[in-house]
Amino acid sequence: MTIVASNLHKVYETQGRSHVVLNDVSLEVPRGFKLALLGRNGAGKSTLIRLISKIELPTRGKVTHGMSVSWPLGFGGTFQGSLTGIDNVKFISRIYRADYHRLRRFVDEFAELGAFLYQPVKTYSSGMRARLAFALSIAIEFDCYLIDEVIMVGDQRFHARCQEHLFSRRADRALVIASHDGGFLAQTCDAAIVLSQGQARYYDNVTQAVADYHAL
Amino acid sequence: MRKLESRALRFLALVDAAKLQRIVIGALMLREIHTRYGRENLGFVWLVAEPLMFCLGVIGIWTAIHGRSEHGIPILAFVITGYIPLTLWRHITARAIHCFRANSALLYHRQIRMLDLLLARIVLEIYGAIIAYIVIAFIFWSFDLYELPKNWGMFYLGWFYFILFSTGMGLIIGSLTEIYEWMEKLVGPFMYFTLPICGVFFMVDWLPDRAQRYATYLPTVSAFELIRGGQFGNDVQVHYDLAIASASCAVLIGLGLILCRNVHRHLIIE
Repeated sequence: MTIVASNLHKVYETQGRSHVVLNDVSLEVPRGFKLALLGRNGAGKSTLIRLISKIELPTRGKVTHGMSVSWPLGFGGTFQGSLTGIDNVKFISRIYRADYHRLRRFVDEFAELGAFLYQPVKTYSSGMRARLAFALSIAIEFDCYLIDEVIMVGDQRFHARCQEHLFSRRADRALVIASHDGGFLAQTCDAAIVLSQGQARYYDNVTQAVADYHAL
Repeated sequence: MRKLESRALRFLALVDAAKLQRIVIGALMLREIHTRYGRENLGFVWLVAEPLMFCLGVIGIWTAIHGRSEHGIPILAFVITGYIPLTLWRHITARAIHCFRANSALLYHRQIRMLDLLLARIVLEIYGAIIAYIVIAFIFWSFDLYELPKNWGMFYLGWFYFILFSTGMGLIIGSLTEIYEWMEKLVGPFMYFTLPICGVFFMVDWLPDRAQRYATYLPTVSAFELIRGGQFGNDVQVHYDLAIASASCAVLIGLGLILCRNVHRHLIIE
């Protein structure tokens, strides 16, 4: 029951030049473990999250999932703009074999989109989109949730609800969080990885990691 | 006993995986229908209306040039049996190009595999072509302009080969256009140059002797011959080669599946 990423290398080819994003990064996320990813913009946090989620394959190295891993929390990229919110809820309920009525009720209460749930997603504001995405990702139960940056979506009320559902009710789940918010990470996480120039440094002490990250 | 149990469990897991894949492809197809045809207007009607317009136009032109029959067989049935399978092939090709790119974000849902994205579109086109054929045939049949196929077995066999062929082409083109950017540019010329030789415009029997021998090397020619042989029965002399057709469809699908497995590393997700 552990996510193991070993010796990940990721090289992107752009205009004939290769750009090394990750150079020999390894990590482990056991059950219930909360791992922070720190790094400047472009340091490879999102790439690492995509590799952990297995949607992208590493150039070298391997990722194995010993548990179920979510899509990046709040990621709305899988929505089709011309579909309604409800269509997207139905789609998720089908492929995850989750009860549609339970899912719809949850999303309805959680995202508070009201009648907009029956409108095409392309008419949503970015906040509404994020709320729908967030609600759907929390509605499906995973052993490990991946969170890329935008955890602070919506207003205070929505924020508080996310906190409650993710960190209180699902306190037993593993998390991998990429964020710039050092205070929040230090509060939440058990360990941290600081990414810089493709290299990863591992810290058991998140506060120390945050301090080193700020010193970068 | 334990060995038997574990084997049974593995079998059950396999059945469950197959079931999930069916659910996933079904869900992707529904999604595709809603995004392509919308839900408010008569979107789905286009599925049939488009090939119908195509057929009507071609029937009009051919009738003007050749009259109502050609080599003793009715033009209308000849056009329908040719153009609807042809639109299936063309539609699958068109939908396969950059299919992965358009849907790549969906791969975040790990139960969706690359192949599912492509298969959903292909299967949808197959349903579309079959529905279009039934509706169009029914319309002309009710005006006494079209007769039902005389040899159903042969008719279905021809469709079966055409579907296999189009599926194989779809898998290959979908994967290749994703791996190599320039491949997309070749698809247009390829579809254009294969059009006169694919068998949609002729029966092999009308060709000179030497050409007849080579014609059946093409799987589409055999498929069209079978469909027309089924349609017109003993009114036409058909030439086909089941061994070559089977082998080439198997090769196309096999190659397509292998390519599809390799696309993932070329895909950059936003």
